[in-house]
Amino acid sequence: MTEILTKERRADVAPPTQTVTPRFRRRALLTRLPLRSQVALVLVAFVALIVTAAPVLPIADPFTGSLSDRLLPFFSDGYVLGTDSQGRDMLSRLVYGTRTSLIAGVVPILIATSIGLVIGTIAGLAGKKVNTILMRAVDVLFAFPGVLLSLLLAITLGVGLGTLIIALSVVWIAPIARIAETEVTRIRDLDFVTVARASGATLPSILGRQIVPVALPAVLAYATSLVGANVAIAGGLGFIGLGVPSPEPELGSILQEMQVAIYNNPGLALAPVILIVALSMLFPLVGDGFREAISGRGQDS
Amino acid sequence: MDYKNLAHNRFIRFVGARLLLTVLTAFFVAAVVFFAIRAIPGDPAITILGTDSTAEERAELRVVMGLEQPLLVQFFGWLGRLITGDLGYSYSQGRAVSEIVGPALENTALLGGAATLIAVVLALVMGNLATSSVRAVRRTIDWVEAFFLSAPQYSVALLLLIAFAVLLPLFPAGGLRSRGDGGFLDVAAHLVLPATALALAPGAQMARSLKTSIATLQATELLPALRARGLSPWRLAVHAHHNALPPMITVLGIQVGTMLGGALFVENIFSIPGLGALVVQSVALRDYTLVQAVALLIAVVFVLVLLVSDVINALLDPRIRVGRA
Repeated sequence: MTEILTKERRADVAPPTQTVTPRFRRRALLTRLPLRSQVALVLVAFVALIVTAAPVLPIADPFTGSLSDRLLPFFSDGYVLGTDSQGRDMLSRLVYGTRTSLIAGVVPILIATSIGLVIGTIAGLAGKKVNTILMRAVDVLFAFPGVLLSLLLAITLGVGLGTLIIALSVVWIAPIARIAETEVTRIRDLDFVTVARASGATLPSILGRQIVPVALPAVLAYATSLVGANVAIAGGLGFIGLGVPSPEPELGSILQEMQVAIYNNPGLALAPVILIVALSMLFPLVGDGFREAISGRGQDS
Repeated sequence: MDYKNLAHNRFIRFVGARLLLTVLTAFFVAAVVFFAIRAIPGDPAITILGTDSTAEERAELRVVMGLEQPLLVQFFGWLGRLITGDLGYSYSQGRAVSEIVGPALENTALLGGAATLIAVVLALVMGNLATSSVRAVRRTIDWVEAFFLSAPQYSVALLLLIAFAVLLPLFPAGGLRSRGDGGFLDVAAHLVLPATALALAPGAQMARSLKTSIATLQATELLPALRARGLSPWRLAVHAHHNALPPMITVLGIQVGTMLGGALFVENIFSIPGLGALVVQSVALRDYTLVQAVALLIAVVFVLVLLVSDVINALLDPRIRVGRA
């Protein structure tokens, strides 16, 4: 009798790390990313570094140009990447333009993630009625192609970086709320949440310790992927003149300005195209990598 | 026979529920479009008459346009007129909006149809290559897919324009028809580049779905069993694709939204007089009646496409209509 008791007690106090074989020990998240995501992450960090350091880099002023130097080709005297239609240095325009595009790409996703997470969590935890109302509202936002919704909001709010960020935030609330709701609904009924509830944990404690931390990685991975699509839409709005007003450089509006050069000097138009495509591609590569690493599929391949 | 009748009723009930949802969504979409446009700061009367107009002229126009009525009255009046086909009057073009959007809708439908065709072909090719047994092929398709999925349509359009209309002048650089021509081949040649620009992302998205379906099927013993029964490779492929069809149609329906959004840019770059180009033009001219009508039209087309794709799926796959109805 006593023997059984001590045995049980022993099993109780045995440190859980001993039962976990080293084979299953978690490696750091970054090293579990697929190679292409690691490369993409390094490139994103590199671009972010360049645009942050732009003011101290030895590049020309992006706003001043000389009218005698209009649309010069690559490697012209003093202009490595040529000049735009107003004789401004393209390299400098592109660096500062990438900075604006990155801000317009990342900030709305941060805002939308905070709001979408709250909506998704409420919808996932509340009763059926609240859930239906919230998710139907999300469905209505889904009925607009993202570009069209952002365009409507952009003309309603007026042009400018601040209003652009607000318009783009609204566009991404719906998709993020939907993912968050799916995650929270899934986690809500898992055993460890039931255990926490049974042991008398309060709702804020369950939210903060069991639900949000578990739901967050998937939502963040998805949000990271969305930055790419958001950069694309922000550039598109700039392309049709609804982005950041000139003379502020932004990749979409640079693209639009460079359209005139397509026939005589296609290379000039190519530079902003390549940058936008790169930014739109890198973030999904990183985000998808994180998603694979979280779900554990990354370890198989 | 009773059994057959029941299934029939379930299908009708599914379509009815789905139709109701569509009408509701369309109503809310209309509300969002209306109030977004109405919230634009500034007096529409000044936009139309110019700043040198007198206060009386503006007041008169505001009454004519119904701007003095309460917002809700304006909204339901507008909705009522929409239902009877009266989309309002475009001040920038001096014509009724319904006269303007007709041909534009036709051109966008033409472009969208061509893009859908290319996307489906692309999806079949990429989806099958992605399940190839050769590792290098799968790797290449992975990268191509990543590019197709995330490259913005306007940058793809510009790349195609530079590559196949400027450097290598194989296709026309813009428009929908040559002057004095307009035969099938002529229109097709004009559509190749813009439709391809719109088709890449939907094609890759459908290819992903096809790849998943085929991989799921390969994990089962259905295909070896069919092969053992002596089916030809062609019939095997048909079986493998049959299961993949419903998810692909769902993806295509959602991707029509991407295409409609992309049309905004692509129609501009290739000077195609469609709905997308019309939106951008009317935004530039601050003709908000026209923006309102076209934005609503695009959103409603999208909602209808989603309805149609769900109904087709319910017809193809009984599990869907039984599960949801």
